[in-house]
Amino acid sequence: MTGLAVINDSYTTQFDENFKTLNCTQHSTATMTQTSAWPTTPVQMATLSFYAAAPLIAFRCAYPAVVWKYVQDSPGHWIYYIVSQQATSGTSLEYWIFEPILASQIATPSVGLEVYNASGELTFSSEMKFLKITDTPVKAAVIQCLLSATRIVDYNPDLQNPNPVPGHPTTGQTADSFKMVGAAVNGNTVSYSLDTYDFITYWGTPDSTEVSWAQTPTSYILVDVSGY
Amino acid sequence: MSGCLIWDASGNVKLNTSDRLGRFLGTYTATTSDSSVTVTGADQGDVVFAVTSTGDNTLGAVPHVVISGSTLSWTWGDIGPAYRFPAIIQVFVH
Repeated sequence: MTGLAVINDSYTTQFDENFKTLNCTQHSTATMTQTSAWPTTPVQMATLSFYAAAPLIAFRCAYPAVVWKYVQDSPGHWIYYIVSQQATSGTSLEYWIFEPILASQIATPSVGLEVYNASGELTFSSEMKFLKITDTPVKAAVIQCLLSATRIVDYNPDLQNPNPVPGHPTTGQTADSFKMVGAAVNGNTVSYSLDTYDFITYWGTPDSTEVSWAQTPTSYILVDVSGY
Repeated sequence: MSGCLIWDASGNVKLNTSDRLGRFLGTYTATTSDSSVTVTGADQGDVVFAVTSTGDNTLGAVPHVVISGSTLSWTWGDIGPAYRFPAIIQVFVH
């Protein structure tokens, strides 16, 4: 092995010359408003629209909120849709955007340590706002609610499924369902609460097999954004 | 203690030897057929990825993506051809 690599106490590479470190480039807030995407259940939604290279989004909300879907509709332009059932209209959502570091994002002249790869691209700067991971908890999924107490007969094209599940294991029935799991971070600490939503459109009344089959554990990454 | 410590101009520790940082391994494109690619650097730590549709905002269907070792695979399942658009898969490690 040649070049520079810095290893942490757990023997994981913190930064090196091969891969770009992630850097907080944007910090902003959005406001949730009620959306009509779910006609039977009031849902609050914030729409984030921004330019970034290859973003990872961290967000904080006083209520469990989840990324419903996101799209890159043109080169470098991203739209994220974040929804919450427990939030009220006007609820604020704070978010941070992390991207692979670019030299143009570092103030010059800079001080400290910079690392470049063999192509002359910046992979690390001590001036950057690092993506620091504090925990990676895994939450076992629990269904909290269904869109309808009985069923939704008509297929709703607005409910296109970003996280499809396969057909029913025994009947082969296809359920256009998508799972969304949300976390709420309270205050400026790493304390958090988790909640789970399963918005499911059934062709028939869900039975216990379908409910169980629709659940999967979900992992989270908690990020330290102090001072960002 | 070993490793690297970084302080800001106010004397606060910005990077400690116990910190875990995220790094970007690369962007891959999932075609509209089931397939897989090899991810360079997947052995560097815990891998996470984000899957993004390049299709219309409303029809943002993406394939089911898994990573096993260095192999990143995607399957489209029941999603019909009309709803399939190439998906962008960003791969990160921490």
